[in-house]
Amino acid sequence: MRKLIALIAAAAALTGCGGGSDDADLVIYSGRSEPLIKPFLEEFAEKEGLNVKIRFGDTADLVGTLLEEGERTRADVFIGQDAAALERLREDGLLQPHEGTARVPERYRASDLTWTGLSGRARVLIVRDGAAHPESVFDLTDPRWRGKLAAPTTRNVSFRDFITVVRLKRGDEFARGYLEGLKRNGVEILASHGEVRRAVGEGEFDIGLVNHYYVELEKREGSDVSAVFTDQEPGGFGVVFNLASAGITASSEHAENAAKLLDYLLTPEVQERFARANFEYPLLPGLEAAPGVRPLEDVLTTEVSYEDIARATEGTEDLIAEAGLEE
Amino acid sequence: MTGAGARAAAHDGPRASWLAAGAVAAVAALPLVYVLVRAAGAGADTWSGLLDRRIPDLLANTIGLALAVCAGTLLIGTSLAWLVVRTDLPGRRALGVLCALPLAIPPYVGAVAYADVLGPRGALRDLLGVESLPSIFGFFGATLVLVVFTYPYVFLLASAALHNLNPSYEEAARALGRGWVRTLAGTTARLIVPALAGGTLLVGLYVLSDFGAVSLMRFDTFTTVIYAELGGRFDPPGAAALSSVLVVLTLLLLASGLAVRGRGRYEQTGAGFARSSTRELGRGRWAAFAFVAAVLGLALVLPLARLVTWTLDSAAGGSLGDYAGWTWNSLSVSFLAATVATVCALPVAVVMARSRARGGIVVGWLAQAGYALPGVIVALALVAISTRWFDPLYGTLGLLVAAFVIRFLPQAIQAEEAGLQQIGRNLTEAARALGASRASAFRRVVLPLLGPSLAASWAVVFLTAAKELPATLVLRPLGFDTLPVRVWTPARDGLYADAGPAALLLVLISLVPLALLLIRRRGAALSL
Repeated sequence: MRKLIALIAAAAALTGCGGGSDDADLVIYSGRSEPLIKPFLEEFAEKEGLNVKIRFGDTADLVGTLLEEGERTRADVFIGQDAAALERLREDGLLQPHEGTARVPERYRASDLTWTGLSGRARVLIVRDGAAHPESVFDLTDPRWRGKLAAPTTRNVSFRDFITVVRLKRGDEFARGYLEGLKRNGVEILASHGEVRRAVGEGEFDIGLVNHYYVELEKREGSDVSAVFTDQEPGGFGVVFNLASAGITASSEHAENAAKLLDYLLTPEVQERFARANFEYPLLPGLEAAPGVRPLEDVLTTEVSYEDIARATEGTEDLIAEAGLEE
Repeated sequence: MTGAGARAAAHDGPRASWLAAGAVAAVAALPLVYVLVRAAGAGADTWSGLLDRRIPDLLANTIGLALAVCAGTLLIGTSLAWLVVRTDLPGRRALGVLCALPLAIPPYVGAVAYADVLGPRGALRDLLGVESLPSIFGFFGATLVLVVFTYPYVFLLASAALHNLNPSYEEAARALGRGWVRTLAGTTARLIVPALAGGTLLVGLYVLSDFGAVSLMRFDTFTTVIYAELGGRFDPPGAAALSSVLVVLTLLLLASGLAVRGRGRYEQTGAGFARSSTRELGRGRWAAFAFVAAVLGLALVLPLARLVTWTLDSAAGGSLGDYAGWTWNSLSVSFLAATVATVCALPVAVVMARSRARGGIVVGWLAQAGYALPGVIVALALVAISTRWFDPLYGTLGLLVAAFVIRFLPQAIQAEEAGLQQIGRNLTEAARALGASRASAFRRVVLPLLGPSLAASWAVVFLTAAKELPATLVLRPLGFDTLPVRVWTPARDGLYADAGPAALLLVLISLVPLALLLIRRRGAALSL
């Protein structure tokens, strides 16, 4: 028995049973996917000589984790796929302000500097070249587009935020009717944005609902597709513009390193490189989108506060479920 | 002996095992207690909101799925078992082993392959050359995946029962003029009811606890919604309330399953009997073979072929070193869980096997609370308990191991108790009469004989721990990714191909303990 206990203890020690990661200089929770952001985080860690630990996960799950951990969390920085996630954390007092974020235009960050957008994405249509398409996203319910439309799983954050904005701007009844209309039109729900862009790229569907950079990613792979920015007429609805965002936790034990990371991600050079790697919009004034991407100043985006989106998210889930589009 | 009381007193294990068993039971039941207390305190608003909006649908979804999967596995598992054990099916021995192997493929791994191959743009559609297939996602897909990857529970128990069946009943039925079909349906089936009930119960319990497969098949059950309540919706009281409903559901299933199993028990007289007769299928042999091959095609060939092709043309992220690290993490956490569970189960099994006192039964039941606790719930409870009262434990590997032990302790207890039951008391009594102390009699006589059961207990916990997903997702320490996590993360974003290599590695490391179990006892250790 004693031998057994010794064996377990040895195994436990070997695998670092006692937490063991207390040597981290910076702990990051990232809801942005690993292949995309890890190179930048690793580059930062190497440059600063820091031991960085990252927990990758789904943005919503990580928000829940942080809410449960509260001020006991070991996370120093939270990176999320949308601004609403950060807004939720701010409301619960889990973020601290960082002066460095002031360099980001005010509409792309929290007014109290507790979080900042890192990059922007517009909600557009990916359209097969030569195929007809509507100019308004709301016309997608027209029978004309029946069977031609693909969308990502409605559990996707970007899709949900889009519906939330529709609710905020046009009301719940309108949003419900819109969702039901999409369903009537036989919208094909695919597993992810990646699937949607490939499906349109391969000509299987004419139109897909995606973020703008998926169009560019598909083009890079040689497909003949274009991004259609919908509802661009003066005074129109515009396209929903969302932000991948980051903030420093209120209880961070490595706030200095956390601040360094945000400053690093907000340097013009990194912003530009990130924009080129992934075709998202850089948010600092004076920086341009990657070649081929419609310049942001030519895009009409929907006026809406991320605070309101965060508050209204829950009702959207119910609405999607009631419309029978939850997949 | 003058009465049951005196007997119980004489045979009660040493006080040490009572104490140890009590401690184990207290820890094992902690999450259950936490969930029930928290749910009771959730407040009328939370409850009425949930009862209005969520619980009716979730009950329908969850119970419907469990019934469909139980019916499917009962049908497939039992017919495979009969074909393999009692007919002249070509290649029956090899097929018998193959039929058990899907246990090495976690249902969520199966779901990844199915979502891809049978998905809207999958290989099946291309194969058939049709424009579109009915959606795989939802009730149908969830049922299909769960049936295909859990039928081995029924298969293993049914084939063990058929194998051990005393043929005299069937011979009597035949002699009395029943045809073979009626004998099969009327006599044989009735004789193996306990085994079928046991296997189906395991399937039902699994369905209620499954998180990964139903999520990937985009079908909401209690586990997925509880998980979501912990995420973006962040409503801990709501999550606890839903958890308590799921726990009650599980307990009801457990009680009814055990009742059916108990009621259907038939005594067998004598042990040395002839082998049962083999049914000759005649021309039906090849039809039967085709049926078995079709099941194996769905349960083994399809998923494995997809995983292998993904791995071969993998452009998935992650270096060889990354995969080695994730594999090592999976192995070490499963090793720890299996070892700790096997040790913790021992005093409980001793108390259960050796004591008729009511306390023994209570301790046994509490220690097996894990049966009623899906991984999502264990995780939720341990996060709450550790962050409130044992903060240093939060985020450690120790907490994850604790979750696994609580969750899988029942399997270890069952395996060890079954082993203890087979060791006659007279052996210990002889040792005592020869002057050995109670402890030394246990150590020198019982433990060596118990070796195979301890090994089985270890292997079954290792196998289930290696495949565990939801508790791992919530409780894993920072930077500690296991193979299941690495299957889940890309798969959840619809990047199925990227899940391939990790999934294949996971299947490979699950095969080792599974082989151990299959060789040793025809899978009996997997029973309740």
